[in-house]
Amino acid sequence: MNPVGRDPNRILLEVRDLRRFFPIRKGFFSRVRGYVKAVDGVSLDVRRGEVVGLVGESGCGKTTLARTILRLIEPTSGSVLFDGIPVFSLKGGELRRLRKRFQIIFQDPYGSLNPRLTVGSMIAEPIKIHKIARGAAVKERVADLLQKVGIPAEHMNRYPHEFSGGQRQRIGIARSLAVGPEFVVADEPVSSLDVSVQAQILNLLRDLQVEFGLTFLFITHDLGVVEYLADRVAVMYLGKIVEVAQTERLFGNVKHPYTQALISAIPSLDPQKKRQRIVLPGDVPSPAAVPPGCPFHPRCPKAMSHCRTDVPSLREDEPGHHVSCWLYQPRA
Amino acid sequence: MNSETLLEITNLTCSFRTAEGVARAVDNVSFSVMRGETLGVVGESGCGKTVTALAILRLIPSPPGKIDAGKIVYKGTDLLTLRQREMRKIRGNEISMIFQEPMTSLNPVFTCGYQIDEAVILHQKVGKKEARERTIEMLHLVGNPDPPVCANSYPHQLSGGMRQRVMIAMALSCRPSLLIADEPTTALDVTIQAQILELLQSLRERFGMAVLMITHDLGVVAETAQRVVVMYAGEVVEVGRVDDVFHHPGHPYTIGLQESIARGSQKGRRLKAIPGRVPDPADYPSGCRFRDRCPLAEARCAAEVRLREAAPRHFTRCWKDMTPSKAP
Repeated sequence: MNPVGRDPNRILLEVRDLRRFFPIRKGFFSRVRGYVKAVDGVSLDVRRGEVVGLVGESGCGKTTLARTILRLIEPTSGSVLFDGIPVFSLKGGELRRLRKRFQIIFQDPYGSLNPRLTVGSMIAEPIKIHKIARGAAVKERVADLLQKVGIPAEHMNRYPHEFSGGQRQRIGIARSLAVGPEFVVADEPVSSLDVSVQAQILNLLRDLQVEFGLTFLFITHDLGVVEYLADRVAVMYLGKIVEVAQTERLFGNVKHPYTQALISAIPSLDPQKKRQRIVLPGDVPSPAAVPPGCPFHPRCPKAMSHCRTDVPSLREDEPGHHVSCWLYQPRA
Repeated sequence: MNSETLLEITNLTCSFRTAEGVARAVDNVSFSVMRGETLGVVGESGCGKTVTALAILRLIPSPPGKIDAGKIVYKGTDLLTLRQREMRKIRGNEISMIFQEPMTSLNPVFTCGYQIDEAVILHQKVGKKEARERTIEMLHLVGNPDPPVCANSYPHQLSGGMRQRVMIAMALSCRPSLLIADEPTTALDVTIQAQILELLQSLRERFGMAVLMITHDLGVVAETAQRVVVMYAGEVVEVGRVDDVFHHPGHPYTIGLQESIARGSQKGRRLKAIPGRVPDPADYPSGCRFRDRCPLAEARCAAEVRLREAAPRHFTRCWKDMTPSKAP
């Protein structure tokens, strides 16, 4: 757990060509009539100690991607290496041991806590399962974790309904950290909270990241939060990553037209600065019927004729800045 | 009340009976809406912004809720004195409302077209055929690519953004003078949110209606509103022109809200979160309700603090003087 002893540039997570399709079954024999391509060929590296922001609109596959990486959902194809260990080929005890090293924080602090368990027993559960502590040491660890997330330790015998939304999210965070993970997926951890509480939770996540040397995959639709928190940003659209870059680089030099529209849609807090908003026409297409060619072409203000037929690939346009758009690559 | 005032709320107080006691959801709230303007109402959940809106339309469920006191004067008549029958002529006709969740506010067993027709037939005294023409026209106006098909669709067949457009079409079908929009874009994706805000803006200009934009998002207010009301714990804590409130916020809560928003310019710094949480509506502290969380609180804040005009047309419920200049 000592962040100093780690090589900061070492890649902790390597996602390669990951796919997860959900079959659509219809009719008498429930025959498969098509697939929802929730994650369609995603490759992504996450370095140790890094915060990677994953942004996109609802239904773009960001949650499925995260859950598949953690093997909470089985993949259709592709591979994930976690610290060099192939996650998808592990079984039983080996997988369980690896699970200790990666955890998830869920969006809904109301639905993700068991209403019949006290907060203390909920946080103690993973500690016992993974045999991290025994006997009185469990309680001590729970108290310590609660303290760290800003909940008085004497509240450990209370039930979730006795806490506010922000406090429940803190409890969810304590539970995720109970097993001492290295890698944490935070799936929209502040979206359901009020602004002033959001700031408290974001501060907490930042503190914990520094204290434990955590690596974060931070899923959100809020670009303000991403710009504030993330070292690198990956933008997803319809199951594919369309742009990845260092945060400053991405916000300073946006390449993909979809990212441009997303960033222009961040409401400005200055009433005098009426921004030039790019309003995209139409809705996000259903991932069950992804348009041919570049999946973004029906809404793209810069679409060219070959965008309708040819699929662009995610290519490095500038060092560390990958984009999947025909504007930045020669046609094969 | 001058001729430019469309709606004037004076000392509105609403309470709800709860297991913990009587909760004053809205306490002595006063503000007015001018003709044709967009007035933003911001605040966090439980601050009373939605209850205020429901009170205007007299839609507060009773029991457990109750309008205890106050006046809501619309075009010269106090809505709180009207009979139900008279109120129905105003609701959906003169004043209409759109809600946060378009799925739950549309009836799933009727087509979208039928639901819009209904409002038109009820208020405009026209036949079915004429009403449907109006419906198609409205759907066209809110940017539906194929109005006749949409009119025959059920709500579940449409996307979230399209459902919100149907709601807007329904709300505007009788050309109201005031549209109450309660978090109209909160449930929508960023790019769809941009579309809906743009649409509301253009329709407001076209019909010359006033919009009461209720939201928790300061960005939405900065973008759409001319004036803003900030609410906290059932009270109005600040009112003013958007430029004044955003650049020279007068209340520590408004400052706290602005500073707690995460954005790139804060990178690497801790966010200045407002400590603590909103007080329990059944048990507000005496004096200033924000004083437990306020970095500037002092002894005199325990006494009642009134809304005062600290700068021309800029009101705040705080002793402190406005910050001279502050870049948001």
